[in-house]
Amino acid sequence: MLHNAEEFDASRCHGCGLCAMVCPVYQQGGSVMETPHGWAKTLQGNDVLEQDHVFACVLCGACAPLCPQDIDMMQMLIALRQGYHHEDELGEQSYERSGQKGKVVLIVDRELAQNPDRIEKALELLGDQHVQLALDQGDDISEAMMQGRKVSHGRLHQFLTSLQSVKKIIISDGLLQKLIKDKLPQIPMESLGRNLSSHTGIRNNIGANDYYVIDSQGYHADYARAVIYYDDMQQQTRCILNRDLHRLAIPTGAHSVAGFDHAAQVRWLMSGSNAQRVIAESLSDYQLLNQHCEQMVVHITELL
Amino acid sequence: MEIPITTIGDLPPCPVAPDALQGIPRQQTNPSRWKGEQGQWDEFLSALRSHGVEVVEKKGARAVYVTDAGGLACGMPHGVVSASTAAQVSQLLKRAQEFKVPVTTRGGGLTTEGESVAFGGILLDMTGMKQVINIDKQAMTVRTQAGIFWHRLAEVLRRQQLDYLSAPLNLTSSVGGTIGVGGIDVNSCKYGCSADQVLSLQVVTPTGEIRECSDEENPELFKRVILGYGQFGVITEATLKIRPFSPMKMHYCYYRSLRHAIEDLQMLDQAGACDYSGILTMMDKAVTLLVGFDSDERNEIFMKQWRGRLRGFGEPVFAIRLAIYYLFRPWRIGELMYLLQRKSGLFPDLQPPQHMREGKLVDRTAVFSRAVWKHWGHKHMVIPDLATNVDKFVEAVERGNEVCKKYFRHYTLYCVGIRLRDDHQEHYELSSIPPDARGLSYGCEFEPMLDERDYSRDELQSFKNEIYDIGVDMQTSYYRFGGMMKGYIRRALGDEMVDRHLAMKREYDPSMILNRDVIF
Repeated sequence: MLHNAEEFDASRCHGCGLCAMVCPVYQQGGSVMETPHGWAKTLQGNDVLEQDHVFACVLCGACAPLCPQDIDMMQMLIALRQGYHHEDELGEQSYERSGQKGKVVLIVDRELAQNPDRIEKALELLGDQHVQLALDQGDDISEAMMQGRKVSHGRLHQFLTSLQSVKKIIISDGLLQKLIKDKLPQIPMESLGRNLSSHTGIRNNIGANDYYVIDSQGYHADYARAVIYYDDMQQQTRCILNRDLHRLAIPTGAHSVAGFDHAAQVRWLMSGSNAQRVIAESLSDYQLLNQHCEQMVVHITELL
Repeated sequence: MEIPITTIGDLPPCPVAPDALQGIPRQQTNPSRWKGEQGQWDEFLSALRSHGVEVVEKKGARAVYVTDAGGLACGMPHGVVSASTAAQVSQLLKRAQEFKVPVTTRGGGLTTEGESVAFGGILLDMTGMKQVINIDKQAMTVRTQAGIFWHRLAEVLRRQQLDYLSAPLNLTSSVGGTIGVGGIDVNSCKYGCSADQVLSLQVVTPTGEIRECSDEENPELFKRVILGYGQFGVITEATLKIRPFSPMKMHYCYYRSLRHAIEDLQMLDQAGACDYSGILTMMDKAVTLLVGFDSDERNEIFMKQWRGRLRGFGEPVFAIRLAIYYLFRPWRIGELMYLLQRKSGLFPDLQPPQHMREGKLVDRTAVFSRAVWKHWGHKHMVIPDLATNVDKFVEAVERGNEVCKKYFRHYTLYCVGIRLRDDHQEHYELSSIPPDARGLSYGCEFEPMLDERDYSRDELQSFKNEIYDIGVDMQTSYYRFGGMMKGYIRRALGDEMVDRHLAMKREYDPSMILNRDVIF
């Protein structure tokens, strides 16, 4: 598959390597070819990107806030993945179109969508905000973006139109969060983890012995605001956060579609910490941490 | 004139030999590309593979290494080896000696003169060797593989509230590469260069022997490898000194006079009055002296005993003086606008709120690393420098500043002091530490802003040459004296020293395969 460097913004890469510096795949022993730096240089060299190198990415988005050239890494990655599925396109879906104008809506990620009890608990915790589940959850779009399937213009338009008149979006899907932020910047939006962690009852339940795992996708999709929010939260609760020296959220790698050593990544996350409890914002992180952590792991909805 | 036909990604041999244009201000060009003899490459590959060393020949994989941070020297290796063990490096070098295939080592690739660019042969990527092996909190040392980025090392050490002593501001440089050239931090005035924090090394010699070396064990090899520009071996592991982590309290002091700022910097360094110090300028119009401290006590002593002696101003007073200066020079309003724009972009990035705690910079390593690329990064980077003893420094900077003004409207000077170790004098031979420096040496980088227009290679090379000519005239040294600038080594440091090191190089590396064309 021959991609074009100009088309993917890769021609602006100076090769500083900052993206590789924070890339969990690279840090785990991966090749530079599996990082945005490697993709950009390959494209600049007019060569073919190997599919494995593009699909090794765990989609945490940590590289994006760090790029001094402000290259949209996630957009580049998704477009590169789509290059391998050009025959396959996601079409329009049918859903109920009526009435969410002026409402606060909740969009949940795939894992949460499969757990109605947890959704109910989340809605209960968000109770005083009168939140409704969004009629169009866009889960098919998120899935397609992750796997590299193209999304038709009609489907994208349909999804975004359904959100155009809502008052606010609360979301637990980092990929969709970035998409909506780029396309509908006027709509107030907040990650579910951030919203729940600001709940007084939940906040009071987080303490210095807790290791709080921020959902990396959502965090990096709204980095400038999120970094301030979580700084304040850490100051208040004294909890440990899964952040590196750049204040980027270290991912668990839950969104990987190729081989990624989750156990090693969790070991790296927890190294040097003597936390007694681990709190996960994202359900996929929760499931993964439960498998690999020695400490007790709870999902944020369980804190109250 | 016949224009040679080129294919994308491959550069033809440069038609201008290194010394072919004597008297014309173009001293060096890319070295010619190694081609080898008929069948030599294939036999070499077979031999490597039979010893378990994988070579990647795919064009895309090689294209990642086509240039370095400077972006001016371009060359493609024939193949890439990603090192994961010292044994693998050893096998590679043994076969390379046998088949006389050049091997260019690369860490972060942050050279600017093509030193980490392979003009044919093998590119040895060391960044796969990035494990921290052991942290000894009693001895306050860390043993690490040498391909690790300083950033990763900082991350690992911070988990235990520890830090390295000094590292380059740009943390995508590797530990091994840094040890090979020096490594200058804003705390080098206290701790010396990064290479001087090394206690011992594991080195693979150019003939493939894996050796441990230190001041006590194989001291000759240790002397040659430290600051040796990769000529005498590939560093695969390093034991470094470490220290407890502490956030940094910073102060800025603003000057209109380069001379005054440098004299104040040297006064502070010689007295050991601060833990961090350096000068960063916007041309010679706004000269900022940065001082920093690891503790409140040190900060208080500085404020009581030293701040009043400095001739620089705080920000409000400096702003008023600058306004008055430009009030009487309205035709230079463009320059003032540039200064304001640059300051408003740069200074917040040097003290971003998320990295500040109680007025202290918590993660200077992360902050500086990104700021360097954001505010000075470009597809081309030209950073000639002069490294002098204490006495020559003011003159060297002032002369270099005049050269900058001649070539560019906008540029930055970055000056820093380096504490020297008396017992390491022999390490410093043929390096960026000038032979006549004792106690402290100083370096100044002259970095033009290249985003205003396109500059030709010859124009940039002429600029570098004029800066380096100052070094020859004043008998100083340079931090970036290899690669395209290697023609200056003999001129600045003399034939006797270079020939002595060349003889040692031939002894260590009979086929002259390791990092060819970097120094010799």
